[in-house]
Amino acid sequence: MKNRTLLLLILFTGSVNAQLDKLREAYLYTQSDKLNLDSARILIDAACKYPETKDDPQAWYMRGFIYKELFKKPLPANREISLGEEAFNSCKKAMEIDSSVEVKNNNLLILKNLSAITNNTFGGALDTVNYSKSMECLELQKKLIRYIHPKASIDSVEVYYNGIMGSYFQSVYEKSPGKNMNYLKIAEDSYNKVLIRDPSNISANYNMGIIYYNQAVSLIMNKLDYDFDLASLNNIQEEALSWFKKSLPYMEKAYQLNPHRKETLIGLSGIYYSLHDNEKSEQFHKLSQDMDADQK
Amino acid sequence: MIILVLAFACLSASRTDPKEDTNAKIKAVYLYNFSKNVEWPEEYKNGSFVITFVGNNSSLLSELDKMAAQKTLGNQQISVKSVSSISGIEKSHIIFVPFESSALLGEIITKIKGNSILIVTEKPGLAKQGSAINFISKDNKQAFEINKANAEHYKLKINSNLMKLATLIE
Repeated sequence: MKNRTLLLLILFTGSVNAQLDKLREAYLYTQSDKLNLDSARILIDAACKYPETKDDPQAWYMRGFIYKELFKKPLPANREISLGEEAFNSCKKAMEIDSSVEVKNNNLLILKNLSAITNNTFGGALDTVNYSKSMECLELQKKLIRYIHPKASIDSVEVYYNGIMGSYFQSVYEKSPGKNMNYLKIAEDSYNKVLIRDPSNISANYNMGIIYYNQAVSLIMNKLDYDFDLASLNNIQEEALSWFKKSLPYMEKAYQLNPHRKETLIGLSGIYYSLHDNEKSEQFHKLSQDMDADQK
Repeated sequence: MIILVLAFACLSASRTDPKEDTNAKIKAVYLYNFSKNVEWPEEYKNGSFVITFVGNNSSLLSELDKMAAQKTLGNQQISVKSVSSISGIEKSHIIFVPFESSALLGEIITKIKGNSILIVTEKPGLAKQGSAINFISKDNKQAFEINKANAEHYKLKINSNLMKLATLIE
C-alpha cells in the first residue's frame, strides 16, 4: 500500500487504545513481510464494528483495501464477487464518513484498482463453467463506474461486456454447431442486450446475422437427409427460410453502418443466394470481389 | 474503458463458405426424390442409375457425388457423371442441365432422341422448351415445374405425389 497518509495515521500515531492497535495490526498483515489477509480481514471486520473505530474513515478505507486484496488473491475463475462488493461498500462508507478530498482520492484509487480487477475477472472467468461469475462482474463494474465516473454512460459498460460475452459463446457454439443450444441462446441474449443500448453496433448486428444465417445453413447441411420425402424437405426449407429472413435485417443494418466491410458483403451475398435472389447475391459478391481487387 | 480483456469481435461467416451450398444440397435431395418418384421403362431398371451432369465445377455436382456414395435406388447403385460437351453424354436416367449449360438443351434433346431420360433444368422457361422438370424459385424457396407431356414423350411416368407439389406446365 502506497498511501502515506494512512501509514502515518496508523503506524506512527501512538497507540490510543486497543482498537486502534487492531487497526494497525490489520494493516501490518497486508504487508509483504507479514502478509496474512485472512487475519487482516478478521481484525478489520472487528475494528469496523467497535464503537471507537466504526466511524473512522481510515478503518473503512483499510477494510476496502483488505477486501480488494482478498478479492484479487485467487485466480479469476475462483474469485468471490462478494469480496469485491465488500471492498466497494467499504470505500463508499469511508467517503460518506469523511468527504474530504484526501479521503475521496485515497478511496477512489482503491475503487479504480477494483474496477481493473473486476474487468480482469470478467475475462478470466469467461468460460462455459464460470460465465455466471462474469455476469456478476458486469453488475459490480456498473456500480463501480457509476461511482467513479458519475457522468459516464453505463450503456457503454453493458455494450462492452455483453458484446464480449456474445462473441465468446457464439465462438464456442460454432465449434460444435447444434450441440449446445444454450450457448447460442446466451450469445443471442447478449447481442440483444448490446443492441438495445446501441442499435448501431456493427459487430452485434453482424454477429446476430451470422447466428441466424448459420442456424439455417446448419439445418440444411446437417439435418436434411437425402432420404427426406418431399413434404419433409418442404418443412426444412420453410424453417431454414425463417432463419434466413431473420438474419437479413441484421446483416443489412451492418452493411448500412459500414458498406465497406468485406465480411458483411460476403454475408449478404450468402443470405440473398439462399433466398434465391441471385441478382442481389451477385451484386454483393461482386462488391466483395472488387474490394479484393482494390486491396491488391 | 479500463483494460481490454477480450476483443468484441465480429465473428467470421464460416457458413458463407461456398463448400456449404445450401441450394445445392436442397437440389440434390430433390433429385433423389425425383429418382424415386419417376418410373423408367423396364430396361432401365438394371445396372447403375446414371445421373449425367452437363458441366463441371459445381457445388451441386459435389453434393450429387455425396448422395451417390450414400444412397441406392432399389438395387441400383447411383453413378454421377459429368460431361463437358454433348458428345460425352451416354446412357443415363437423368440428365441435369445446370443454368450455365441451358443453351445446350436443344442439342441434348436431339442427342437423346429415342431414350428414356429425365431432363432436369434450372432456368425459367425451359419446361416449355423440352425439359420434364425445371427448378424454379418460389417465395424464396426452391420449387419445381413439371411438364408431364415432356416426361411422357420419353416414356417416363411421374408419380402423383410429385405432381401434387409441382407447378404444372403444359
